[in-house]
Amino acid sequence: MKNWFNKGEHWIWFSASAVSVSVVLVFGLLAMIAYKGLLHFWAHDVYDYQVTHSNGQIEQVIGELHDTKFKLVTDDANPEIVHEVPEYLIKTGNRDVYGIDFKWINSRNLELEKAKLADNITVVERYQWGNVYGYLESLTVDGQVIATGSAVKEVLQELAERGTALHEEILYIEKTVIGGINYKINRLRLEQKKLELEGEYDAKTEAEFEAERAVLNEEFIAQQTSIQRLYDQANELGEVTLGIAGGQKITVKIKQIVRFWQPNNMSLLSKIGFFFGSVGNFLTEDPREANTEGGVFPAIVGTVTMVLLMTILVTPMGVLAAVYMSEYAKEGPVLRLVRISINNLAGVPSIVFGIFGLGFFVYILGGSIDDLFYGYAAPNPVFGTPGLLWASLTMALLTLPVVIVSTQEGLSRIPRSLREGGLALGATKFETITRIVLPMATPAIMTGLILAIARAAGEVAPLMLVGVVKLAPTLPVDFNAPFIHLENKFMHLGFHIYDVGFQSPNVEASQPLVYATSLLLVVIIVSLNLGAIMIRNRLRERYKALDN
Amino acid sequence: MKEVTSFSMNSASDKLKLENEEIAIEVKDWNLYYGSKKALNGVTMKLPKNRVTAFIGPSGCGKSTLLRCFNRMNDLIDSVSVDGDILLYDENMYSKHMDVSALRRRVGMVFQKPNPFPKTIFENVCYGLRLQNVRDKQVLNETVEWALRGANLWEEVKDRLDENALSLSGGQQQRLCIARAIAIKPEVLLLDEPTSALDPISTLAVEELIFELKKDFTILIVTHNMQQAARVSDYTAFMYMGDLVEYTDTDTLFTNPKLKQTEDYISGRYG
Repeated sequence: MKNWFNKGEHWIWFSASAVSVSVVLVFGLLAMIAYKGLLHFWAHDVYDYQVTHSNGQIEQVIGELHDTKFKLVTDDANPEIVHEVPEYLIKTGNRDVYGIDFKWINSRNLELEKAKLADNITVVERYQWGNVYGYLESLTVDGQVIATGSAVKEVLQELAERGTALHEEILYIEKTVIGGINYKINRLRLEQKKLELEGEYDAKTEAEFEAERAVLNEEFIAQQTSIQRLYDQANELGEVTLGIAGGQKITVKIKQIVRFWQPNNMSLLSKIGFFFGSVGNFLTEDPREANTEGGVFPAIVGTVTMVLLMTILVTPMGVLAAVYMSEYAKEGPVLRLVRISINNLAGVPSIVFGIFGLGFFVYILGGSIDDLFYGYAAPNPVFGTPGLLWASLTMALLTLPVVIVSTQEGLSRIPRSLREGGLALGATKFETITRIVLPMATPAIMTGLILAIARAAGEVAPLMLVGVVKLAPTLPVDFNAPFIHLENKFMHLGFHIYDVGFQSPNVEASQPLVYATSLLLVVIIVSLNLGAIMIRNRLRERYKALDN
Repeated sequence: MKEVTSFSMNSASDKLKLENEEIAIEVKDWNLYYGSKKALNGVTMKLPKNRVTAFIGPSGCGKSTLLRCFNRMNDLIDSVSVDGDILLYDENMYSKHMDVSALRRRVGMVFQKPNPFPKTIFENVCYGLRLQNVRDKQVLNETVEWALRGANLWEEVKDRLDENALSLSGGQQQRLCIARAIAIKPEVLLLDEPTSALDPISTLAVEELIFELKKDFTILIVTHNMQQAARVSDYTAFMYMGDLVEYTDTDTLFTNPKLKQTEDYISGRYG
């Protein structure tokens, strides 16, 4: 035994167990997020419960089982005995009728021991008011009943598909086409204001502007009418009536239907298909209903754009600073102070960076830019308000220490002999740095960027102050020149999680969405990092023989 | 290409005389300090053109330091200060107007440990040319071939010029570094213990190379190996504790040293 300790075996066991615990924690975390998040996209079975109330009345509850909790209840006959009574959280939907989507039921009050699958139940996802759980009864077009009972499904299928197609077309025209026209009209207006301010707005330019504006207005009206036509078509699709639990009826306009499905009649294969369809919708659609439903596409675009822009900003800043500090600056108290400051900068709470970003970048820098170049837009701020550029800059500042420190580390590892080799061939110091030292330090620079990306993509607090919003009207990147709009506000997955999870009126409905968004955020950070790691490995491969 | 000077094997019958040589570098009362510590003590010597001059002496005697003065490599160390003059063909190396990069192009250097850049063999050799903004493909190709042939490496690497230089063996790497140094056609070549990290066969290859190269270059070599100094050099300088103790043609120094200190060192009694 003593021998065992002397050999240091116990240290190996200690460190191995520390590693195991970390691995288990990481994978446990990921597994939990993945399970809870992905469950959201599954076509759950819908059950039919009969609940007895204290007054003897029997109430029918139809819905998906979402959660189970155990309540401790003392036995009526013998107070010594405590029963664990399960309570079920049922998603009943039909918010417009019941007022809420969820209902807790106590298993003691259930009529039947086992939950019964509801036959032919249909779940209808709507653009507003959430899901409907009910039985298809009749389909009416133009006041005429054209199908009842089991025939409804087939007709509805076709009509609903036409409805979603129309919806997408309307969305495209509204967002992209009319959005583009509006963008141009707004630019025209600003240009006019600018010319007016400079006193160069004369009759000739006025005529030109008016002509251009007339063309745009005409286009706008034309698009408006085509949209109106589409709306009319959508209205004419008719409506479907469903019978819901409790004997009531819900009538849903077909243009309101996102999709519908009959979970209890679906095979495993079609459920898997449904699952991937839901994931696809989640990734590509805009959020609906105060972000509690629909997709997260704008948040994905916002997060990725912000991170990439941050990378572009932080790399030159960090690398130049590191090169100066380790190659040019003279060793001494000043340099030591700078080093200490940089290391401490890494420990400053991120919200402080947010405050700095708001105070300095947004108000001072952005305000001055507005005064200098966008005076004609006053009183509307252009850069003097939180936006993508300021968010990226703040994040670049936040991650700067990481990039500087790892670049310095990389620079200090380049052997002296190689620098001398370069200098001995008549290279100046600058040439040696740019041609030999920096290329060889690229793996270390990439390491810094990987850490920076990981930090920046996950940070939320400072972003709330410098550019992230709950719902951005436009994407930061689109098809209108100059394609990337640095002054726009944007959405971010991290903030989206916070907003959906804790600021939403419908907490239970949005909970799975929180997990799903978290999973997505992790996946995005991991894939951004994997990209950077792949580049780094390729660079390392090139310089690998150097380490001996 | 430089004019090829006739050279002679260093045999006793054909004595070299420093007085008869054309002088490439002249050192006048040269002192060097690391901070306050004196490392070179009033060195004065004349180094002949197109000859191999070896510097020998025990570790820490200042021979490498002196060698690094000839291309101002010591400038890189902050604590170094110098006084005296070193003339390269009557031009003061340490004058204020001297362009150090240009000087280093005229005085090439090969280091103790092979230090190829992590680039292809081809790029390593033409690195110096690229610094001078030579873009002509043909010039580059010809120079690379000439330099690699000059360094006796061409036959071994001609089919893999695009491979990473780090894939070469140690001896090949050192010859590559020599090729890299001669590719910019310097006037003087400094070799700082060029074979100390190499095996005997590679050492022999480099020594043969030195013998070939002195046709075109003035070569100064620092070595710990006295046999090597005797084999390759025409003149030898023995240094001790920052002093230039004895400096004469190699034959005389090894067979008939003037000073007891030199004799003790070369006969292995100390050092």
